[in-house]
Amino acid sequence: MKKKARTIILLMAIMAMGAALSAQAAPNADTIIRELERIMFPDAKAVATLHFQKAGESRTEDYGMIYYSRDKNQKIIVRMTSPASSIGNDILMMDNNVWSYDKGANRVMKVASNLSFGGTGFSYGDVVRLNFSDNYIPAIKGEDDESYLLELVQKDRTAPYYRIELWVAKKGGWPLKGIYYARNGSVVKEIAYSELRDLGTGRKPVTLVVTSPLDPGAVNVMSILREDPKELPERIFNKRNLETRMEDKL
Amino acid sequence: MLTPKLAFRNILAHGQRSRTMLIVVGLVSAVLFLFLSFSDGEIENLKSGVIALNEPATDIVVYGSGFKAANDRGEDWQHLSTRFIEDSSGILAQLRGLPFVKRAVDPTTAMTLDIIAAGKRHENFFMRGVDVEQPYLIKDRLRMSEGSFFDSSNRPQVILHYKTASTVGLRPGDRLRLSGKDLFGQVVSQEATLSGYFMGDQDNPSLGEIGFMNMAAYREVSGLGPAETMSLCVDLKRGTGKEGAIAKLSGWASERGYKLEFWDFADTPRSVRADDLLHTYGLFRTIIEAIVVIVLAIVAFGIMNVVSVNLYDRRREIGTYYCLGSEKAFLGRLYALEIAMLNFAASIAGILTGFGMGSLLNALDIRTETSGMQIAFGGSQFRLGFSIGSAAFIVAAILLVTLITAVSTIGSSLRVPPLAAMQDME
Repeated sequence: MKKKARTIILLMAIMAMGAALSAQAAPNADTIIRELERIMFPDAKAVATLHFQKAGESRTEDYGMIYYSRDKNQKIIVRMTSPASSIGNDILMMDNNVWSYDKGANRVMKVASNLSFGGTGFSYGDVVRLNFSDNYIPAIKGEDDESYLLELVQKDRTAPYYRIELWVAKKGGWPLKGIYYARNGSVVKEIAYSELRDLGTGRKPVTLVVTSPLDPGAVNVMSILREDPKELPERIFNKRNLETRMEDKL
Repeated sequence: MLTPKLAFRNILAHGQRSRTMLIVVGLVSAVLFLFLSFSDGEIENLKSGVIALNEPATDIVVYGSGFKAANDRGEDWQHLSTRFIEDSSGILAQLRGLPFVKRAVDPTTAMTLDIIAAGKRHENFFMRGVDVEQPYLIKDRLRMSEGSFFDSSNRPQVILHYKTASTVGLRPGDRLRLSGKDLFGQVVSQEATLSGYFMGDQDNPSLGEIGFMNMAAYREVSGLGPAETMSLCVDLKRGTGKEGAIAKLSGWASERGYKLEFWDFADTPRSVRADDLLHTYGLFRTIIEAIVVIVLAIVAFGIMNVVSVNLYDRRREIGTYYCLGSEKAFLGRLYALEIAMLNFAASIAGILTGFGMGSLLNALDIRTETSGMQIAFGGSQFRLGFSIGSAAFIVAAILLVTLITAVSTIGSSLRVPPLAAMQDME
C-alpha cells in the first residue's frame, strides 16, 4: 500500500514537472506581443508609400513619405515626399496627439487623432496608438502549426479598438493578419501583413493591406520601402521641429 | 435754463424749417434702424436656430469638479474622463426635485461621425444625443418634415436634416450605420434606424451636417458609461436669479457629497462651430454698421448745409440777439442745443417709426426655404430684431453728426454784425 502511494506521488511529481517544462517552452502572449513590436516598430528612419482607392472610384491616391519613429511608434515625424502638393505638409504624432504643419500658412495645427488620413482606411491615431503592449491585455486564444491566434482586449477605453484578433507567425514572430473589433462586436477593420523582406531592421512583412466591411471595395495599402535602424533623440519630436527639421542634421 | 427754453421756442417759431429737418433726420434714422434691425434679426435667428441646435442653451451648466478648468487648459480625454459626472441619472432626478429648478437634462456631447447607408459613406455628421424623456432642448427648435421624432423604444435611432435626404438616399425606417471614433478615440460602428428627417424651426444650410440620435444610440457610440456624462443643463423657474441659484446648488451638492461645479451658461465657452458662425455673422454686422456710418457721413453734409442756410436766413434774429447783449458763445450754445434737440427728437421718432415698420414686416411672417436667403436671414424666417444697442447706436451717431455740424457750421454763421437786425428792418 505504501509502495503504491509512493508510485502515485512520483507520477504526480513527474506530471507537474512536465507541465512546468512545457509552460516554459510555450511563449506567453506578452512575450509574443513584445517580440512582434520589436520587429514591427523599431526606432528607425523609414521610407514608405500609401496607396488608396475608394470604393466605386477609379481615381487612386498615392502618397510618399519618410518617417522617423521611436518608442514603439509612440513618437513619429512624417515628412511627405509626394505628391508635390503634399510636400511640406508634415505630421508629428506623439503620445496620442497629432499635429499637422501647414507649409502654406506656416502654422502647426492640432489634428484629431481619429481623423482619417485623406479620408482613407488609415487614421493618424491608428499609427500612433496601435501600440499593442500599452493598450491591450493579450491572451493566446488558439494556435495551429504556423501561427498563434492572440486575443487583445483593451486595457482602458482610450485604446483605439475594443478588441483585436491577431495572428502571429510562430517562426519569426511577425503579424500575419489582424481583425479589429468595435465594442459591440462588429468588425471594423482587417489588416493583412504580407511580403516578407529584410529592409535593414530584420525580416518582417512590409506591405499592409487594410480592408473594412464598412467600406467594401476600398483598398488601402501601406508599403515600407526602406528602413534604417536609427536611435533618434527625444528632442526632435516637438512641434517646433516640424519647421526646423533637426532630424536632417543627425 | 434760459438756453433750453430759448432753443425750444426757436424750434416752435421756425415750425416749417424744424418740420423739414425732423422729417429728413427721422427718415434717415428709421432706415438705418431697420438696417441694424435686420442684422439683429440675423443674429437672433442664428442663436435660436443653428447655434441652439449645435449647442443647446440653458441657464446653468453643471460639470464635475475641476472639469471646466481642465477643459479650458486643453487637457486630453484621459485626464478629462476622470472628472466626468458619475451617477448622472441620480443627480438629474434630484435636481428636478429642487423647488427653483424648472427642468434639468443631460445635453450629451456632440460627436463627429460618418453615416454609412446603402454601401456609401457620408462623412462628418455632427451628431448629438437626445434624451427622449426630456427632449425640450432640441425638440422645441425643430419640426419633422418626414417620419417621426424618436419613439420611447430602446432601439438606436437617428434623425437627420431634410436636406440630406437626397444625398443619403434613406427613407424613414431604413437601417444605417454610424461609424467613427467615440469620445475616447476608440473605433465605433453602430447600426441604427432612421426615424425621420427634421427641419430647423429657424432652418439654415449649416444644419445639413447636424444629426441627432436617441440615448440608446448615443450610449453605444459615445464610449461613456450609462450614468456618465460631461455636463448637465439646468433651467431655472421664472424669477430665480442665476447667482442665487448657483450658490444654492453648490450648497446642495456639497451637502450630498457630490463633487460638482455650477456655471452660468453665459460663462461657459462656446463650441468652435458656434464661434465660427457668430464670427461670420459678426462680420456681416460690421459691414452693415460701416454702411450706416457711411450713410450718416453723407447725411452729415446735408444737415450742415441745411443748418448753414437756416442760420443765414436767420441773420436778423442773430443780430437782434447781439443787440440785446448776447455773446457769441451763448448764441453758439443756443443754436447747437436747438439742432441737438431737434435731431435727438427726430432720431427717436425715426427709431419708433422703424420699430413700427419692422413690427409690421415681422407680422407678415415671411419664410423661405431657399438656402441663399436662409444664409442672409440667419434662419428660414425674415425677422427684424430690435435691440437697445442698435437704437443707442443710431441716437449716438445722430448726436455725433449734430456735434460735427455745430462745430463746423455755427461758428461762421454767427459772424453777423448787430446792425443786421436794423438792416433787415429797413
